Amino acid sequence: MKKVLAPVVGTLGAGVIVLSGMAHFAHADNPFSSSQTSKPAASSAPSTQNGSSQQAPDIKTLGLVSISYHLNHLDQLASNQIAFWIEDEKGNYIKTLRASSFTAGGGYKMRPESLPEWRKSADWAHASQAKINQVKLPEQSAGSHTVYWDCTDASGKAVKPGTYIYKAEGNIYWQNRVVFTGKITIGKKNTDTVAQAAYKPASAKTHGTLLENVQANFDSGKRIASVHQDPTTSSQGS
Amino acid sequence: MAEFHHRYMNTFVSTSGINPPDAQRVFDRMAAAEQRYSRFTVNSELSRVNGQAGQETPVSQSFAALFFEALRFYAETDGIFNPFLGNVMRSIGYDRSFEQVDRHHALRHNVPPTAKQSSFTFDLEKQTITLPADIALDFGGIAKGWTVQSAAQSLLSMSRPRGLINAGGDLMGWTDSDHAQWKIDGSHPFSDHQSIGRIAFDSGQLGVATSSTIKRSWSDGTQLLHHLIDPRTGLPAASNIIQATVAGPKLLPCEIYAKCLLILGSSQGPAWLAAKHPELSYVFVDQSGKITASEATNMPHIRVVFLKQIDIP
Repeated sequence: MKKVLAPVVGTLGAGVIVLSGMAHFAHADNPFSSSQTSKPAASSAPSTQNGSSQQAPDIKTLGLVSISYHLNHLDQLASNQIAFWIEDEKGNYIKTLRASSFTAGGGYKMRPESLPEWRKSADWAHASQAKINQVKLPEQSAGSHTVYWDCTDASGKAVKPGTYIYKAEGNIYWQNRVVFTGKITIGKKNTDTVAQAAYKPASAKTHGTLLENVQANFDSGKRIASVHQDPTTSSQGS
Repeated sequence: MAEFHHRYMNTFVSTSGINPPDAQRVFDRMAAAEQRYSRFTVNSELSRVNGQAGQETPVSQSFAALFFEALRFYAETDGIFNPFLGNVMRSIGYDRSFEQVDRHHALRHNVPPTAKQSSFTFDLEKQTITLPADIALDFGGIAKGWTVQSAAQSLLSMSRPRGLINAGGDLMGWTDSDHAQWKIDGSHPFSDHQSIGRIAFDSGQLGVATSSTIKRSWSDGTQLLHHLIDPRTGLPAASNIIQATVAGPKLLPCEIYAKCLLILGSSQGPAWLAAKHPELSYVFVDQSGKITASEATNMPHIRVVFLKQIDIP
């Protein structure tokens, strides 16, 4: 086949053409298919100026912090929202690891009780769509889970050795929350710590247990590429 | 698991389980595809071809490759997939990148009728295309699916054991049995943050694509419109399916047949799809919120679990 010459045999709807003589085409080999592996134009490198990308350079980091937790499902309104983030020892925000997709995606505008401590620390009202997509956590099954911190900050740069605070916030019932706080030192040594829970207000505990057993360990030199994390991938239609 | 992301073709593109240099390769391909195939970029190759309708126009090898695939699917789907709808899209107000479309009073354009005596030519040796006058190409989803699939196949050819590339819900993943399975949630038609089911696979490769009449919809002030055109009418598809997901070994057929399934509707689409591609699995949501999934899959390494019914606002 050297040429596809197909007469227009119909115009069903303005601007729509119907071609004849195309049936044989369904099984034809694509003579141009080698282009699938051709290199893209050098001038087409993606822009990094809009900040929407966790860009590709391989960053040498101190190691990997694994934060494990046990999640329960609470069968009640305004509940089951969780967020994990990192602050430095002085309480300055470093990075959000994961946050429930409803709240991260803007659900807090409808329900301002959702994860207020995380949103304030992260200044989430000004988060970019790229950042939202990066951290949003679809609904998880009840049970044990792990989120990872690759020891980089929100801009993707490796953080310095030192002590950092990891936090997990959960909405138990409307404004009733639990906030787990733990310290972890990252450097050359592996460390393990357990976070302490604070219920806000103290009576929040009577509304159920959303998060339990929040603890972290640091593996010096370990890379995030070496671990498997629940994917956040979804097929959402286009 | 490392995740990287960027925005191309007005779509959020992410990679999972892929090392940074490979992720950069994926993004380079997406950037190149956007530059080549966008209907909304004045100096894209597609715009140049459309602008020279009626004349013989040389095209690049990459463009020819995608166009060849588009014609193949045109033939295979009996014209339900039709790449010649660029002017129809303009006629219903989708004449610019979707975030710039006026969702409430979109500007519609008159499209002159095409002469039935005209013809279309694709010269494979000269690598030229001659479109009929007043006809414009629109690659839309096929360009996205083709690029993701090409990027995935390129990494597979380099023996990368695991990875997933997702371009706005059109995704392709692969993994060997030594690594964790991939889990892909299906989103609610009206909320990306709400899952209505899950597809999981343990090994091999899998493409998944979802088409929706909800996500890219707008009004011209008098009627609601969306971007999935039924070429039999030249109008937005009016079937009873509002969202269709198709899964199979490769992404591109999934992308094409999700669209066709949605256009054909629940009475005709499933049997039509099963006859043409029994290896493809599907899940669709109809206007009442009922979810229908294909009964069996010829891919034993994948599991498809979806709700039976969802609330539709």
